[in-house]
Amino acid sequence: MEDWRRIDIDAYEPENHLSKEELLPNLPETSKEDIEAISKQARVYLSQGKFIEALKLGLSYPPYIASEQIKNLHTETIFEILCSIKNNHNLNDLSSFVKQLDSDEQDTLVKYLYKTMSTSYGQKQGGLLLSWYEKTVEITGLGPIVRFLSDRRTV
Amino acid sequence: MLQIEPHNLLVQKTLTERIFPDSESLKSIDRIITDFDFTTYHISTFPDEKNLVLISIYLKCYDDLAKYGVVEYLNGKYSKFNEFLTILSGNDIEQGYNYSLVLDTNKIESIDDESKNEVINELALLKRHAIAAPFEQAFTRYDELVQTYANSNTYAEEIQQELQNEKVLVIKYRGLDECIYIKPSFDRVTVIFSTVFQDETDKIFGKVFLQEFVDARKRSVQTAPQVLYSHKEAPLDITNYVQGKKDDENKGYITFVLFPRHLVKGDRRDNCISHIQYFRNYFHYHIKCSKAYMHSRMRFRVKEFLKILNRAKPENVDDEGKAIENRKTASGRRFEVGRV
Amino acid sequence: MSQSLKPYLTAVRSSLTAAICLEDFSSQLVERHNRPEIEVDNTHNPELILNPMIIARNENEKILIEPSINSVRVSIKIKQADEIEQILVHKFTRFLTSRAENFFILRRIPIKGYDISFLITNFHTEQMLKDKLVDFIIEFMEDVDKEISEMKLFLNARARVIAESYLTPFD
Repeated sequence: MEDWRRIDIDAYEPENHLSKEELLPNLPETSKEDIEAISKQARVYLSQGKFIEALKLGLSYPPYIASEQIKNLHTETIFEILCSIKNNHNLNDLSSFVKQLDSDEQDTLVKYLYKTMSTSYGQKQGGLLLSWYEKTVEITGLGPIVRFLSDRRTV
Repeated sequence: MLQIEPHNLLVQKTLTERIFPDSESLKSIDRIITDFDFTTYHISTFPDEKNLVLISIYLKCYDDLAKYGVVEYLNGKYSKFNEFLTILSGNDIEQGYNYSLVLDTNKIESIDDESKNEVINELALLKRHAIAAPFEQAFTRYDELVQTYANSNTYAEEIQQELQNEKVLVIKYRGLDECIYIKPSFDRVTVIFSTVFQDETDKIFGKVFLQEFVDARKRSVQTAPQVLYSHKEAPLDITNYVQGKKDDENKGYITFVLFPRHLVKGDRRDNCISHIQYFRNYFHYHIKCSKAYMHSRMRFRVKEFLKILNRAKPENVDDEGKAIENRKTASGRRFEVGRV
Repeated sequence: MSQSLKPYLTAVRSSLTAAICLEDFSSQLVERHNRPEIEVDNTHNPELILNPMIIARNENEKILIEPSINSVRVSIKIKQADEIEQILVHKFTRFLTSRAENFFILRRIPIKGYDISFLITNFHTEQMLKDKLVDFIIEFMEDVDKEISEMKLFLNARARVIAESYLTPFD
């Protein structure tokens, strides 16, 4: 025994602690095909000018249980939808979009706003995401933010 | 204080006190005065003859200066006062110093006040005169070159080549890394300073400053010498002369091109010499000043931030809204505010 | 105030308000200890750490908020457009961190990739008003930007005066 002070004794009693895996919610896994299908469908909606449908679709099936790669793929899709809506509408129109979402979808929207702001492509469009964020929180209040913090269903 | 004066204030003051004494009895003096650039003055009286004042100067770059005729130049400057000022030479020069003068305060009594002041000022300019010697030599060489090439085609290749090979005067006034290089030509004299920045901040501040030096000529001071700045790499003229660390990240070269209008003999030339030799001091002095100012600004800003943060602490307020420092119970105990 | 600064600051304000929701919490590993859970190695207690948030105005200006049950770590990246601003920010943050004990919530060393970090624990929120703490961080972000750009302007102005007054006497 070299440095017995540094031994992690807690590792010997795993049953006393929660592990990261145990914190994951018990949900079915989302496959790559599903996400790609959603992304394709969303693009179709966007090209038809059905913005709210695209947004609702994107926010309704977030891949909670999936690999990082799949999650990132879906984030990009959402980002595309958000950009597209912002570029085709006034700043004040964003509020009406947020109002048409139900509370689960609003929560998911906030999750994705935080997620996109941590990506490098999202940071290049910081102004766009911040105006989305501003309009969303104006309507929803702090609730979705707190739920974002504590929700283990990460996106 | 925007400009750095070329004379040494302490030397001036010491000598003024001596030459215009307050009281009759002469006290003995022994003062060592340190100036910038590793320069030291020593002003002392002889133990038995207090009317004789010995003034000596030590310069780090004296060996270089000696090559460029500093002794002759200084002798020329001070020999006109030979009635009361003796220039020492050879072994008489004070140990550890480069150049010594003896001032006889008894003999100087005979001249009028104005001349006395002139002597004091000239002595206070000792360092300026010492460093001026190579500049004078370079400028004299410039005068010669003007004569030589007055009637020739200066664009011809041979002449260009000759000018290229013109000797560069080097003064290592702060060691190998910080030197002054002077190169005369027929239509200009190029003065190059190499300087080392102590730290990253100095370097960046220095860059901002030098950019303004370069731009100033374009913008407002059209008659000024041309200024060029190069970082790390020595200008072509002096590459063969540069000693010390070659590619130091913190090293910079500042080139001043003096045109004939700055080199007109007489007052203007003298002024130009006094001014340009203090460039390095002036430059670094102002970098330090800016840093000091930034510091005081930050200090102020930190205080403001603290005020804002302290607003977050709730005060104990009585019914009228006034703050209460310590509330006591009937038995005289105090409430603890918050958790300890 | 520039266009995107306001939504940025509002976003930071609401995120901070949500995140600073702290309670006293004794360490689950070491008896009779209370440690800021965000600062300690939490491989055995992942449930104490909440999802971190990043709010970005652009790549050079962002804030990272890492909440946990009894402490929040807030790290700010200050705008640095060029060398001068970089050195000024560096000097300024160093100046602040060397006075960290006066600032209670200031962390001595910033998180990697950020310029300055704050650590707010439940003890701070017990002694200070939460809204005012949030105010402080917002005001700090505003003032730092202002201060840096003022210092830069000052430096340029000063350099100009100095250059001109040196070059003028030559003639």
